[in-house]
Parts: sequence; C-alpha cells; structure tokens
Amino acid sequence: MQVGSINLSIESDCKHVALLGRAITSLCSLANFSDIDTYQVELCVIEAVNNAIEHAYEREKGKLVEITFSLYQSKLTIAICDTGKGMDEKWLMRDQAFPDVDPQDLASLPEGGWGLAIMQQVMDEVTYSTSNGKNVLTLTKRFTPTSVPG
Amino acid sequence: MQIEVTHTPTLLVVKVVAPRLDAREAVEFKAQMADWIRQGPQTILLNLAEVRFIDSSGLGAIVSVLKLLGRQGDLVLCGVTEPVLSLFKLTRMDRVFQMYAQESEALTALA
Repeated sequence: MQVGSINLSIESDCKHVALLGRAITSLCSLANFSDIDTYQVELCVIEAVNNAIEHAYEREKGKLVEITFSLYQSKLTIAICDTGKGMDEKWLMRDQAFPDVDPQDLASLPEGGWGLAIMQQVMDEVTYSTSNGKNVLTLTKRFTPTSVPG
Repeated sequence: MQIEVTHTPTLLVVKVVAPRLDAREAVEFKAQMADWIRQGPQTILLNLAEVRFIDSSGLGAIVSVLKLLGRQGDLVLCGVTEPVLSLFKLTRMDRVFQMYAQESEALTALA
C-alpha cells in the first residue's frame, strides 16, 4: 500500500544535485533506515542523476531531471526520469561487478565507473525502461516497517 | 570548496571543510591537490571528518590524487565517517588506503 508520493525536479546542472541529495535524505527519514542505509540510498539517487546529466543530456544545461519518490509500508521506490539519450537496457541490467583492486598497482586503480554497480549492490531492485522518449531508472529499497507516517 | 592546509615536518595535512565531495566539487578538489603535489613528493594526510557525503566522482578524485602522488608519496585518510566508509568498502577502495579514525592518531602513527 502506498503511503505517499512526491515529485521533485532539477535542471541538468550538477550545482543543483546537492539540494536534491538533502531532500532525499530527509524523505528517507520516513523509512526505517540506518544512517548507512540513508547515505547509500542518497548515493544511488545521486549516481543516477549524475548519469542522466552526464550521459543522457551529455552535460547540456537547461534540461529536466525528474525524481518521483514513493513511500510504501515496507519499501520505497525512487524513479529518475530524463528525456535525453537512452541507454542500452540489456547492458544496463547486466550484473555489474566492482573491478578487482590491486593496491600495489596504482596505475590500474579505477577512478570511476562504479555508479551502476553501487546501485545494484545497495538497492533491492534496479529497473530501466525507455518509452516515448522518456528514460526511467527505478530504484527500490525495502525496509522493516515500524510506524510509517500516513 | 574550502580546504584547510597545515604543514608538519613530515606531512601535509589537508582538511576538507565542506559537507560534500561530489561531482560538482571533485574537479576543484583535484586541481587544488595537484597544485600541492607539484611542489614535490610527499605524504598527505586527508582529513574527511567534516565530509558527510562522497559520491563516485568524489571517490574517483581521491583515487586520482593517490595516483598522482605515485610511489614517492602517499595519501593517508582520517576521520572517514561510517556511512562514507561504506562507499570505500563497496568499491573495495578500503583495501587501497591507509585509514585512521582520528587525525591525532594518524599524526602519531605517521610522525
């Protein structure tokens, strides 16, 4: 049963992302999350929004990234929508592994490319679809219900 | 991005005085760190105690600083909060960096 839903939107500029992060953290306080869970949910949303800005809109400013946060009794879903360049759904939904790390081999250390693997590791479900020019990445995280405000 | 820098006889202590190290701040952070590294190989102690949020761009910037220092220097972290530490663990970067809970502890160990 859905408890509530809210829509947020920002322009495709990384200067707006921090404010969105604050909003997501506040909304997460409605779920029964630890500090680490809350940080990780914010992290996943920020990674998805950064992807939309950097890849879907190719850093073009003035475009919209819309976020729908929906709270249920024992889960929350966050949909991140853009109308930019879509991604290959099959590639996106493959299991993304974190690269092996050799601390002795500095040159081989990755400096990025973790976003999707983080989402898959942290969230219970990650789905992606494109329809009528709109790309939607949906993140789902379950929690043990306590008293969710109505 | 506000950064406080202290020189000790053996270390450059860099404290990030900002709540976020994210895609917006990562470029400036890297540029500032690169300026100091150009002054010569050294060990840098990066204090992240005031940083509440790091995303993969911020983490990538920290890794790039380590790579820039190379084998002649080192980048040691302190004050990493538990939530932010979870990002290092997820990406296995906790295996790469030497970390101390407190700056004072790091200063003693690295003196």
